[in-house]
This record gives sequence, structure tokens and C-alpha cells, in this order.
Amino acid sequence: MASRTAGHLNRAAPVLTAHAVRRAFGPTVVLAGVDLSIARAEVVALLGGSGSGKSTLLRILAGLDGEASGSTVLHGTAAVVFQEHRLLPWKRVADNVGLGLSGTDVAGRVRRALAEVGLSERHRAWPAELSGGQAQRVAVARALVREPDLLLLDEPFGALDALTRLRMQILLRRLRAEHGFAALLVTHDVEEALLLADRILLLDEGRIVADLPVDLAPTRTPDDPAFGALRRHLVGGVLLVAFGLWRLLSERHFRWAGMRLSAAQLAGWSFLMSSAHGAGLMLLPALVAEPVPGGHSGHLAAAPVGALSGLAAAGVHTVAMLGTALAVAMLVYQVLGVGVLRRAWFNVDRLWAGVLVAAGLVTLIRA
Amino acid sequence: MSRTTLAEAPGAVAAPRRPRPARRWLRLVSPVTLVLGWELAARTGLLAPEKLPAPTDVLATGWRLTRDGTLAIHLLDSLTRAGAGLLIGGLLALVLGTVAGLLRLGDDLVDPPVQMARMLPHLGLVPLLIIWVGIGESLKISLVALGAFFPIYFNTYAGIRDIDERLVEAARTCGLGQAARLRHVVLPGALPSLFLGLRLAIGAAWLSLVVGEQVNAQTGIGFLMMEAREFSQTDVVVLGLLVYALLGLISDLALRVVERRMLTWRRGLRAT
Repeated sequence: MASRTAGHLNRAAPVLTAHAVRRAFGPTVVLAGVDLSIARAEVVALLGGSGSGKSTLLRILAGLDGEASGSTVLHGTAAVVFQEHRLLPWKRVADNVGLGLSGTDVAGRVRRALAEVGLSERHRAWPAELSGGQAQRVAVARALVREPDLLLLDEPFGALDALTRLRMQILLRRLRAEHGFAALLVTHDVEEALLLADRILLLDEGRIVADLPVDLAPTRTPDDPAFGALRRHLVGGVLLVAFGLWRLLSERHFRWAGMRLSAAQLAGWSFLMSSAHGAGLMLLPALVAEPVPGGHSGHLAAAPVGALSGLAAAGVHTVAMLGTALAVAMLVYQVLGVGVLRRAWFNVDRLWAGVLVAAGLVTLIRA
Repeated sequence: MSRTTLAEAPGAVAAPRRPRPARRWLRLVSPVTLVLGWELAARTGLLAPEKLPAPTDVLATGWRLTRDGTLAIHLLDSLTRAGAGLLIGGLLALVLGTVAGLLRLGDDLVDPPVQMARMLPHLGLVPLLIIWVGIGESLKISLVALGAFFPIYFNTYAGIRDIDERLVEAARTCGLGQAARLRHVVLPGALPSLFLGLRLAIGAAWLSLVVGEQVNAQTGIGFLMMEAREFSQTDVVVLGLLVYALLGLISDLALRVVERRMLTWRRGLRAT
């Protein structure tokens, strides 16, 4: 069981430190030793794909998982906002916010917290009468009213529509500026992480594989050029690592725009798209591609060549040179039909996937 | 107008709504006809009075027995039995259901025997109960308690088990301890299920009472009926049946009113 200590309040000390946190569900290891520390008033985003163990980590940090090993030390108090609002349906909004509160002027504190999320007039409503966004705002108020030193947010806006999500992100940024709480934001949305966080932790295969400071102004927007560049590096890096690993581990192919591609080739196409049309399109192939059973793919050279331009743009020149050699070999095969290369194709594709993983990691480290 | 196009659209399904007034009156036609037919048949001698007396005669008998206080005495005794049985069986079921629902050990120890006993028809236990507790008052109360126990036990158990674990977790992050979680999350969460159990239990209690009061009772509606049978007072027998039916109807209605007041939050749930 993870020992969870409540340390003394100290301005200089981090508000939360976790050491060697491990969690396995039966034979499946979800967290393979995670170390992290969150400074006072720092917002850290925990980024990772679904199943990467980010929600599990947050539950452990919130003290909701008794089966984990390792240690977490919390200096101060923490409050949690979950992906679902988790309001008690049999309590009115105000009673939900004030749940478990004690001390003086509970009603006044509840009223102020509801006013801060813009729901003063709904204090008598039942949770079932609220819209999804309103319910989530009540959940935020329920966390805020406790004046936590650390806010743990588990994909808090994941279930909301795009417009509501945007409003909630702005609300959270304002509240953070006013209250100065530290926060751990679990999300799979790169843009959200860049918009809200001071630092991004990338969780993959149960480990934190990257720790990236976000050096952007506090009032940032997605149109910021620096924002765009950082996003390109991050998305590119994650994409390369993810698709490279995918290709290495599975024979599954993808169907995209009428082409049958391996995961490595799909990543290549993504970069080709992004260098031709701007970074915004980078994720498009990955998002709309449809997984199909493995097999031979016909488009050998185009994808690697496209990917190389992406790699070169990310500043990974050595890897790009190596990749170019591979791509030329692919072209030779396609044009001349050299038999040796045909037999070697599957190994070459694997090699290419390995190159992608390496390039992705380099990109992430440089970002 | 859209209304006409809607009406003309083939296979258009109208939204479910309350029956229109005209239809509600229509639904009254057949019961009223039946009662009128019954009255007429009894008055014309088509139905022998010892087989089935006229409804007006039954009502007259009811009025007579109410005025001389007989009905009140028997009714009070029946209600006392039902109340005591419900209280004993219900409390026992509530405690055991809560223990089984909340504690793993309780579940392992309590639930298997209850699940086994559930298969016994409790009204079939009358001979055994007579041997155990005799034919006195305790027999009637035991029978009612047995009937009320199972629905309350199972619905308490299911109500607690069906509580969303995520809500309990959220309450924990709000700093609620074990006792506070029981009070704010488990109890209100299990309440709808508890009400359902109570309604089923009350139904079972009346049924048990009907059977129990036919075994050597000196008072009660059942006794009234058995005694009337001896003297072929069919009107009193039918009156007893009517009283039983009314008791069931009134208790169910009352419980529904209480339920609606206590579970206001569910109305919002249904509206969305």
C-alpha cells in the first residue's frame, strides 16, 4: 500500500511529491515506478493516451487507491474534480458543494464558490436539472470551496462539448490566477495541456517518459506562434513514438485515403501532410485512419519521404539523413523491383519504425 | 399547419400522454355496469342472497357494523397485527439487509441462508408455525413478519449494492468519514429501493394477515369473515373482502405520497 503522508505546510517545499509509485492489476503493470513533484501554485498536465495509466496515477495521488506501492507526500490539502461530475443526485446544488464542510459560515462560503463558477442562481436546483457543463462547474465549485493547495483534475472537461470545454478552460485559468492553487491536470488533449499547464509530463507504458516545461505567457492562446511550434514538436514527438512502437509491436495496418499503410507509414504521411499544409493537419491521418488486419502495403516510398521532411523540420538531421538513405532504397525497389529488397521489406519497415521512435524521443527531449 | 400534416402522416406515433377526459370516463363504464348488473341480479333474485348479496346490502351491513363499533374493534386488531408484524419483520430485514449489503463478512454469513429461505412459500409454513408458536396472536404476527421480511431484506441489500461506487469515492475526496458517507451517500442512495421493498412488504403483510386470521382468531377482519361464514352471513364475508382491498389500496396510496415527498430529487431525474 502506498504510504500517504500529510507533510507540514512549507512555502518552499513542493505541494506534492510521489516516489516510485507502482500499480499492477493482476499481471498487467499499469504504473511501473513513477516519480513526480508538483511545486506550490504550479499547474502540471499529465498527458498520455488512453490506458497509459494517467487516471490510475491521479487516483493514487488522491488517496483513493489502497493497492498501490510507493510513497506520496502531500503538503496541505487536495481536492478532486472527476471526469463525471459525481454530484449526489439527492442533494441540491448548494448541499453538494457544501458536502462535508465544517467550520464557520459554510453557507457563505458555498454561496461565494457558486458565484465564482457563475451558478449562484442555481443553488436550489437538483443535479439532474443541470446541463453537463453546469454540473461540471458545480463539481469545480465543490472542490474550490475547500480552498485546496492542490487540485487534482481527472480529464475534467473530457465529456463536454467543444464550446463548453473552451469556457471551462478559461474559467479554470481565471480561478487559478485568483486562488493560486497548484493543480495536476490529467488529460489526453495536447492543446488543453499547453493552454493550462506550466509543465507537461508525458506518461507512456506506466512511466513518465518526458517532463516538458511550457514557457508560454500565462494568457496564452492557441494562435500564439510559440504555442504552435511547441504543439508541433509535442504532437509530432508523441505521434512518432506511438506509431513507431505500434509498428514494432503489431502487424496491424491502416486504411487511409484509399491506401493500405503500416503504422510507420501512417506517421510518415502525417508529417508529409503537416509540412505541406501546416501543423494543424498533422493529426488528421492518425485520427481518421481505420485499422485493418496486417499485410503487405503498396505505398512504400512516399510515406518515408514525407516523414523525413517532418523530421528535418523538427531539427533531427542525423536521423533524417539515415531515413533518407532508407527512403532512397525504397524508391529503388519500387522503380526497379529489386528482389532482395522485396524480401527485406518487412524488416525495413520495422527498422523504419525504430527510427521513428528514436526521432520522436529526440523531438520530445528538444521541445 | 403542422398539426394537420402530423395527423395525416401514416404510422405517426402520438407522444404518450394522459388519457383524455372522455377516455377516462369511458374507462368507468364497464366497472359501473358490472356493479349495476350485480345489484340488479341480486335484487331480481337471479343471485341468491346467500351466494352473493347486493352491493347496497353489503354497504348497509358495513354501515351497521361501523355504527355499533364492531367493525372498528376488528379493524383495529387487524391493523395492530399488521403493524407489529411489519415492524418486527421490517426492522429485522433492514438490519440484516444493511449488514449483508455493507460488509463483506455480513454478506458471506447472512445472505446464503436468506437466499435459501426465500424459496420457501412463507404461507406454507403455517402448520410448522402452529407447532412452534401455537395458534395465538404470535402466529399471526410471525406470519406477517415473515411475509414482510423478504421484500425488505432483498431491496435493502440491492439498494446498498447498487449505489454508484464513484459517488462514494467523491464523498471520500470531500473529506466524509465512514459514518458521514453512510448518512449522506448510502442511506439516501438506497432509499428508492427501500420504498419499493416497503410497498411489496405491505402487500405481503395483508396477504399473510388474511391467511393468519383464519386460524383460530377471536378478533380481526379475518375472524369476522370466518364467523360470518358459520352463520351464512354472506354480506359480512363480502364486506371483509372489501375492507381488505381498501386497506391494501389506502396503504399503497399513503406510501406513494410519502415516497414522492421524500424522493423529490427523482422528479428532476425523470424530467430530463
